[in-house]
Amino acid sequence: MLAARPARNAAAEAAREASGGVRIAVKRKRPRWHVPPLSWVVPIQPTRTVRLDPLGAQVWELCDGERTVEAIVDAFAAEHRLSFHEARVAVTGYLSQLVQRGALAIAIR
Amino acid sequence: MQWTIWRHIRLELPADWEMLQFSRNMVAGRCAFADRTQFRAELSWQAVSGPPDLERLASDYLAKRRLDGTIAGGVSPRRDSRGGDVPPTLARVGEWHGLRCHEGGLLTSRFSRYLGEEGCLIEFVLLWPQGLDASLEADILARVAAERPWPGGWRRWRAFGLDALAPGNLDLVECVAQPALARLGFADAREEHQVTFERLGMVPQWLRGSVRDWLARQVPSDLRDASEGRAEANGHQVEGLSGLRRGGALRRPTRYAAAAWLCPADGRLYRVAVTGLGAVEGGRPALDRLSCCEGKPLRG
Repeated sequence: MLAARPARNAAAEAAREASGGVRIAVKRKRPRWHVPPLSWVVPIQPTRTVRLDPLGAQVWELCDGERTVEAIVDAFAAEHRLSFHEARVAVTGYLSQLVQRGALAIAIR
Repeated sequence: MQWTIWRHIRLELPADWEMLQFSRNMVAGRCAFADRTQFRAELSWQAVSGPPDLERLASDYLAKRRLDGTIAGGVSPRRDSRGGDVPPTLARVGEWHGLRCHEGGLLTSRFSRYLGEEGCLIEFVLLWPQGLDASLEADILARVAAERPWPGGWRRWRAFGLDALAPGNLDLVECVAQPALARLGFADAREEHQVTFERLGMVPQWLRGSVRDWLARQVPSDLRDASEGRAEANGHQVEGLSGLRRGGALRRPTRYAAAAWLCPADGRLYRVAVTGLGAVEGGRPALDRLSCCEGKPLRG
């Protein structure tokens, strides 16, 4: 897990908010059943918005596809003066949420 | 290397081995330590009535594991990372008796000794994913010792960045170790006497207002006649708060005192709250029970 390299979803559009957070619009996969005539009456938003607070935005921005999870944990720990395992628990939990929401993908080389 | 003191047992481990699992049970329990990637050490304890035959314990363990196939008999087919065969061998390091063998595919040192001061049998298991480091093993085992009570019956606990002195007659009733939050809570059976130590991180992210305001928000809702104080100690601005509250099952009026400060060295916010113990006037006595600033001696 620590050697994995999280990368941002290239198809997602991110916009920084005034609060320091980030708003990410993640494209939704169109469901198979969503065809006319059903799609005429049941609209589906083409994107889903994921909002990150400033801390989450920090983690998200570190996910460049090059840095490993370990490097991200180290950077987060140094920034917030946490121990490695404190930062690991916080960061890996957050990364897994971002993966579930489609904002990130994890590459294991 | 860094000290950890848990269940009145003092141990010294490499600085990057952090305690990730713990038990509050004083009779029988365990705590485990991990480096960045995996568990490296486990300390377990069991109260016993007298010194057991440690040699026998080790050989019985070896025989049992050979029987169930966990440890291969004779020379282990696996090799350690340095290329040497590691047959399961009984060993003795100082007062420790145990064995080194491959368990679950990992080279393992498993040693036990009787800790007379605490009346318990302790077992220390070390995992060696990069091969046995005999000098580190000897260092770690040699430095495991009983932590003697301080004058006045105080007992020292040191873990998760907290270095605290708790009254010896109180039990550890709460331990929270989360990112940026470590808390140790001690109380007697009737909960009339309580001590809580806290260490909070990422302070700029959540602290709005002053430490004094934050401390005032932490007090129990039944606190009366509250008075505030401020003291300077070793470069730390300590905010204190004390008063009376109704504590314990009988709701008798008891003293409450709390102190909090922001440590400039590690940026953490520390808090001590004491209920029902004598001599808790103002913030300073509470401060004396908790140290911050890694490397500096415990106050008090």
